[in-house]
Amino acid sequence: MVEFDKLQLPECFSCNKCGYRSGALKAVCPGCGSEGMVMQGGIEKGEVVDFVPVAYPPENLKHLGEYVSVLVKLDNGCQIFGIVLENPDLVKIGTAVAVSSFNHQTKELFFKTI
Amino acid sequence: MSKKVAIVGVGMANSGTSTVPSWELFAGAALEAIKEAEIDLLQIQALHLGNAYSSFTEMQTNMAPLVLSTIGIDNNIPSIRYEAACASGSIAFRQGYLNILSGMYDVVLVGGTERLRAISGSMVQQAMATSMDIAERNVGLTFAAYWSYVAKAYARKHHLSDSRLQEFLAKISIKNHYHGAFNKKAHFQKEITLEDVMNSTMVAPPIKIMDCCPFSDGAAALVLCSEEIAKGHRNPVWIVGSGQASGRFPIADRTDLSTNPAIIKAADEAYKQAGVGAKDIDVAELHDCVNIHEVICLENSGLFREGEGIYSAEERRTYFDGDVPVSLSGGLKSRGHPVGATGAYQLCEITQQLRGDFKGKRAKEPEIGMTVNVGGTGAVVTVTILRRGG
Repeated sequence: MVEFDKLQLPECFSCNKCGYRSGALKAVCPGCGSEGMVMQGGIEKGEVVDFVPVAYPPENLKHLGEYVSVLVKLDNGCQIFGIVLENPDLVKIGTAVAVSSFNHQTKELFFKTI
Repeated sequence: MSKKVAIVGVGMANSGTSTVPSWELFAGAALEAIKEAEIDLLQIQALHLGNAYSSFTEMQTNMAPLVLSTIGIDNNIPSIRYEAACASGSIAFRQGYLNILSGMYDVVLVGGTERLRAISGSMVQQAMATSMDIAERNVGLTFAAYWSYVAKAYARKHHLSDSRLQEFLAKISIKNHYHGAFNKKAHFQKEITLEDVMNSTMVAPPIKIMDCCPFSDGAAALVLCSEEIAKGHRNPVWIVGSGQASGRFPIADRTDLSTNPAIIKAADEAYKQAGVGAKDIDVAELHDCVNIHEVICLENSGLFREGEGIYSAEERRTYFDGDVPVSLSGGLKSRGHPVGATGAYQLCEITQQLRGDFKGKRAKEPEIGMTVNVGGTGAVVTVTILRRGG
């Protein structure tokens, strides 16, 4: 069982029995029902599965200005969302990205193209 | 299930901008429904109320007993508020239905209410965003971005170019505004053109502002009763199928955003209970919070085959005189989206379609109608099938 207070970023969890993966913590594996979900921290590279330029940021992200929302498949197969602040033209499906920073206060997770 | 449950009264406030709080809006709709049901206030045995955001937008919680007090129901009946984002109203309806089905009560008041327009749009957006996964919100996912991901996934799967996708989606907004122009309770009672949609502000490509519904104020109420009570009523509409399902909450956990398994499951459940199939549905109100979602609802409820829902409005099949009339109220796009009340509006509108007294565009003598009401990013779904009384 993952210890909730010892999460590493980007958060990614996998089942050590069936291999199910998720970016969201689960007490029980939805794939096989085991309690063997373990954290796989430190996976910081992946590729863009899809992306959306956001012209009107929500209130909590207004300080960023326009940004690109990216759905990233990490190298271990886990999918998570993140933010890219580069020129939207640089972001395509399949673009390789890496975690650039994480704001511990706001929980904002940023990727950069590589 | 041998028991039968009927809708014997409906009431709807005008959708749009209200000058009164949501509990007063609901009281007005409830009195309309109670009058139509020809029952005494003292016959009501429970209240099930849908409301999503009053905690944020009106600084008011514990809404259900407040609503009872505002109506003037003072005989200590149970009351409860349900929060399930945009599906709150239909969830409340379903709980009332189950109350009667279980034999616990014979007469129940249900519905939903919401007031969103008394505060700024950015505050409403913040409130609505709380219906998404907080972790995904913190990393930049917005409702508009979510619907953009859905539209792009659909276009890739069905080999649609951006321009074709946008044009077919615009036709759905045009169709819903056409219907809404005839509905005196609709938020926007006017037709729009292809240019209006295509030239509107891009929010998150390919989603433009005119692809999206407005935030509305509104309230809708229904009186439900057991078969024994309904026997004396002149125009009952029967609840013959009620399905509910939950979808995966984190969006990143979903494998295919162009489809929603929760809608498929809820529809299957409702069809099985009703003993009918999608081909038997004569009229439907679907959840077009963004026009791409009307496509998803059309396909996942079985009204159209996968990949064909996108052409529904272009081919005029979902117009009032088409073979699958959809959202003759104007849908969320034109009737409006008073979030916690939307599901209840859909049920009132289909009830009136089946009775033949909907004041607006009507389907041709429908016998069976359906509503699909979806909360948040597709995580809460209800599908309800109603049948004309006889």
